[in-house]
This record gives sequence, structure tokens and C-alpha cells, in this order.
Amino acid sequence: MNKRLFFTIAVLAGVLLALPGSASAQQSFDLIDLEGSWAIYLYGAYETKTEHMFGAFYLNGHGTLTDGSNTYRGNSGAFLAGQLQIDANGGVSGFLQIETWALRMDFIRAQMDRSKTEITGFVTGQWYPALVRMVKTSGEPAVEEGGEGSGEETS
Amino acid sequence: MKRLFLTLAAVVLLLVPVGPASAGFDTADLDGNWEFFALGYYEVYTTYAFGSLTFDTGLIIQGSGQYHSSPAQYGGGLNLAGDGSLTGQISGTYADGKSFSYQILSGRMNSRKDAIVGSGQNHLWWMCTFYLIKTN
Repeated sequence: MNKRLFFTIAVLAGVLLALPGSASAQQSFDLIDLEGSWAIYLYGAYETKTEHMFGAFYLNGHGTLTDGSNTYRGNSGAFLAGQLQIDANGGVSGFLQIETWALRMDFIRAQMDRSKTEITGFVTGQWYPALVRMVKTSGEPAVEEGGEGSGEETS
Repeated sequence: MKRLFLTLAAVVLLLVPVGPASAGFDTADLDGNWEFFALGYYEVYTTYAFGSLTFDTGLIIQGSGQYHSSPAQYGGGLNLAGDGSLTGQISGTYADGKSFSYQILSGRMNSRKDAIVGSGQNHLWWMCTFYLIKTN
């Protein structure tokens, strides 16, 4: 009886402990997490000038922008270049450069969320730092299968 | 057999993890480290700030980052209601002790409990948007 009880408890514990953990689990990030299609939204303001941009682009597994288009202050164009990096804690750095006025936006401080589907931060705008939000539109988000919040957006 | 059943039932109750979303929201959900981003604009004035904040029971116990172009230290605290709505103030000092603050008048934590979006104002009443992204 004791042997059977021990075996049953061990199996049960193994199954239950393998269930998705709580939201406090530490997440690790890697360059591959940048790979895929992203939508980007930017807003900035300085004195009497405001700027906004929206667009979409693709990052390969090295964080290099390979394709995309955007609209910056009403001007449609392509991305000239882009290279993003991500550290183990999800901090994102790098730059994007758009066709309109060859404007280059360097990431000042940005963070990928733990579902690996959103990036929020500041980039150098044309005149002043601008708030940027990126939302992944492809790829598998790194959330637990069937976990709560899968695919949900905060905003 | 009855003893076995009772023992197993007790073990199950002890091991079943508490679901973070189904249990509602609690101040403890703020505990840990967050990346904070704020942007505001009024007439011709712009304010922006960012930083790494550590919360304990709703209070910022450690925080550093940048306010405009100056290094800054953060303090303050947030209140998280059971429905995930959030209010509070994130304040700080920069450049030889000058102070600033951002008041989140209406915010919301997502169901994953790893991101917050909010709206409010700074100490000069410039309207602001806020994001907090959990990092651990």
C-alpha cells in the first residue's frame, strides 16, 4: 500500500508541477525573439512640432530589417535600414531608418514584454525622444499553451 | 483505500497552483521589477521619462532612470484594485535635487499581469501617457 501510495503521489506531483507557472516566472530573451513581422507605432512632440509614424516591417533572426513600409507625418515610404538587438533581460537597442528625410531613429530605452509580442520604449525622434510601440504580427508568442492572456493586448 | 483517497485529495489541494488571472488582482501583483515609460505634451512643452522601478507592496523601493535628459531617482507608489484598475504617483528627483512627478489617474493592468497602460498628468498638469512593462 505504501509503495502504491508513494508512486501515485509522485506521478501526481510531477504532473501538477509541470503545469504553467505563475506570472512571476523569470523570462529570458534571445535575438531570435525579434524574428518575424512587426507593426510599429510612434508618437513624439517638441515645441510646435509633432511627429507620428505607423508601419510594418520584418526582422530576420539576426534582428536585421529586411522589408517594410511606413507612413511618417503623412509621407509614405520604405525603411532604408534597421538593426535591433535584445539583451537577456528583454532590453531592446538598435536603430531604424526610414526613407522620409532618411530619418534615423535610435532606440534610447525599450523593453520587450514577457509574452515576446510587444516592445515599448523611446527612440530618438526628429526633434526629441518619441514613444514607440511595436506589436508582433507573426510568429509564435512565447506564452504557455492555453495560458491566460495569450494574444491579448494591453492597448 | 479511503485513507489513500483522502491523502491524494490533500496532496492535490496543496499542489494545485493558484491561477494568476482567475484570482483577480492584488497589490502583490505589482511586486517586482518594471520598466516605466512616460510621455506628455502641453502646448509647446514635452515631458518624457523612463526608468527601472522595483515595487514592494505597491511602493517603489528602488528606481533609477532618466527624466528628460538628466539621470533620475524614482519613488512613489501605485494602488492596484481588485479589477485591475490602477492609480497612483511615480515621482522622483533629478539634477541637484529638483523634483518631478507623474500621476496615473486611470490605469489598467493586463490579464497576464505583465504590462500596465495608463493616462494622467505630470506635476505641471501636462497630459501624459504611461506604460509599465514587467521584467521579473
